[in-house]
Amino acid sequence: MASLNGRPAVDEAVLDIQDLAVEYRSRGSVMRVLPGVDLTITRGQVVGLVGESGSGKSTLALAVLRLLPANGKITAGRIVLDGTTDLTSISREQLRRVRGEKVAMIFQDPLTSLNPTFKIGRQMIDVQTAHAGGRVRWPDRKQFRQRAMALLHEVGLPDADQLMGSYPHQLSGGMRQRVMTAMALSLEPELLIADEPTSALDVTTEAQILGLLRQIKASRDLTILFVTHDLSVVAEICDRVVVMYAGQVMEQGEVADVFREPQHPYTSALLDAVATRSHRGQPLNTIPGRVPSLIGQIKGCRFASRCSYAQDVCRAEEPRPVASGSSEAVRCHMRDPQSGYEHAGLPSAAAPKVVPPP
Amino acid sequence: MTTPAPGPGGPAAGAQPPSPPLLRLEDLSVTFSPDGALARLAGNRRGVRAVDGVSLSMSDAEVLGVVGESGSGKTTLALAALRLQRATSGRVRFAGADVGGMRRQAVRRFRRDAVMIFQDPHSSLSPRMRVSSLLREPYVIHHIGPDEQYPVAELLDMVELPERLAGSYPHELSGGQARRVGIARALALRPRLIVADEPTAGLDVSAASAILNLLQRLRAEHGTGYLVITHALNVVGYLADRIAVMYLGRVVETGSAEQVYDTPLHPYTRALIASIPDMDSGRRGRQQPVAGEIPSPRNPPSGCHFHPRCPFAIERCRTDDPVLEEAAPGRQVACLRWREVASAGNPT
Repeated sequence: MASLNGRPAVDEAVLDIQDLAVEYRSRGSVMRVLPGVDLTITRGQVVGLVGESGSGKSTLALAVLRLLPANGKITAGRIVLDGTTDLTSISREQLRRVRGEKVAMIFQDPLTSLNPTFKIGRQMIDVQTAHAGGRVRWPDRKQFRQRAMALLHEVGLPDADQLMGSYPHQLSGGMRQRVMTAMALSLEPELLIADEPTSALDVTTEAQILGLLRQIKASRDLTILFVTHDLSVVAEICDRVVVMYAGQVMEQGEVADVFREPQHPYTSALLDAVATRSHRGQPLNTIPGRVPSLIGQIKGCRFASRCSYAQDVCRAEEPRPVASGSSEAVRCHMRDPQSGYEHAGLPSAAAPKVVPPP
Repeated sequence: MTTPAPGPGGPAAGAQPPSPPLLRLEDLSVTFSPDGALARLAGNRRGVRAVDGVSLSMSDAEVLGVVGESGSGKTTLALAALRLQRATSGRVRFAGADVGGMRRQAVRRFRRDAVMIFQDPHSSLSPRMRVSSLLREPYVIHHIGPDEQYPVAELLDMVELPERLAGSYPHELSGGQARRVGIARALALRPRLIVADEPTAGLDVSAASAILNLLQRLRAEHGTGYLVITHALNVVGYLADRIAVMYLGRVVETGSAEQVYDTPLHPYTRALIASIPDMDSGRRGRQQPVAGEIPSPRNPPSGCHFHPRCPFAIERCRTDDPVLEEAAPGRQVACLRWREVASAGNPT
């Protein structure tokens, strides 16, 4: 499977997700949110995980840290960290070490992730205390405090002394996201998962936070998995992009390649739907229909019902990931020479493009 | 009632000669005073000047985009324009009439002609009413038409929703569908002005584009004027004819969408435009984002409110309040150094 997708060698991978399946159960019905996802995250890269609501992108991010809600369950697959540890089968104690020390996460709404009743300083120190075994003596605590201040400095909060004595509600949204980031960095993780970290922020603050992430990525040699619905943010900060739809990875590759010549009709449709100034006076492209229900089995391609290129084969058989153009793995019959997809009569733009080497 | 059939569609009812502007704000201020409940909660004694001497005007079928970050006062401005929030001073004129001085009957008429689409569609739709009742409600409130004439199906069709949704409750709708129901309610009485507060917030990209298409189409078909309040610059860049940029309660720049985007004259507008993530030029093309954050409106900086964050600020900016001046025809800016800003070149 791995060689088929043209993925990089496993030893470069910080995270190698193999055939991961996640289900949610509610009131007797089973939602297969992730039917079997393969995804490799290479060290030192910023990988953008994009999709609309219901694409399973947040579920995937939560599954990595085993933070799924109580009715969610990993039913198959492996999540291999550093080529050695399978996160789906480790003990509770091992998992506790992985969280924070290897993989840290920041969320869209820092106010709900920070404890409203404790001061920032206490929370920054507690993270370090918890991972030092819980019982620490005074000199350590003092050291932790200094470390917390240094981290706040690093994330662009110069007035760390005063900040340590503040409660989360006293800070602005941008400051809270910086505090969250500082806290996530405090155990020096290799991988930072950022779930829509800028979606609730104003545009100038968003620009600042993206700048901060870019800066700490470079200075700390971090790998970042950036979950977002905003394609322009992906263009801004990511090296690679992974496009998800209804639980499946539809396309992945280098951002510049995928955005210039998207190979999957869903990726093209998403890119075309972004309103910009250059569209003034013209109607915007939209994607008709809705994401299919994930209850029960889905036959054929998950995007077929909304795809303007769909043919009988698309409704009958699930496409396999193939390399096409400059995208490394595209799940589309149109791009698979062996799929039996009929190209005759299609507009030339729909035919697989041959991209000249740069 | 001179219009017997309350059906939607057709040109705006009772279109008037174009001489007075559709909406005109004259030196409008809204202060939340310390004895207000909101101010008490915030532990505030001085009062918050949420809207500070704003003058704007827009004509029929025009789209005016008001852009600003959270705390800029744009939502308060929208509420004051619709008499949903009392103005502390200044005046709102709708088609020439002073909205603040309207009597009861005139206010009723005003509520038909000028309506609002709220930001959160789910919280602005009663959870206990079906879509059909929600769409009938505007007619019932305004005592228009008998039961069988309520054009529920037409309204659903107008906002491109299937008729079967008429029996649904709001919680059964997706975000985009609920937003459409909100728009259909707003359109029911064929208003001349729609104030839309963040019309695409919280929607997926495709759903957001569909809403923008819908607003464009309805404007072309009905000649409705829109006051669009948003922090999303791509939305105003796509939709608006003219743009007003707000910062801490004040309008700092106005102009046509092209002018404001291509040659921003205020340093804050430049910063906003430079902050737009750019799909085309990619990540490395961006200049340093503007430093700092919007200060609390409870305690605004002296002089020009933007001076602590402004790369162009000079000593005089700390003390002198810049007034909105005409920089070019149809173009206003409130900055002491706008000529230097203009000659500093394109921000992106």
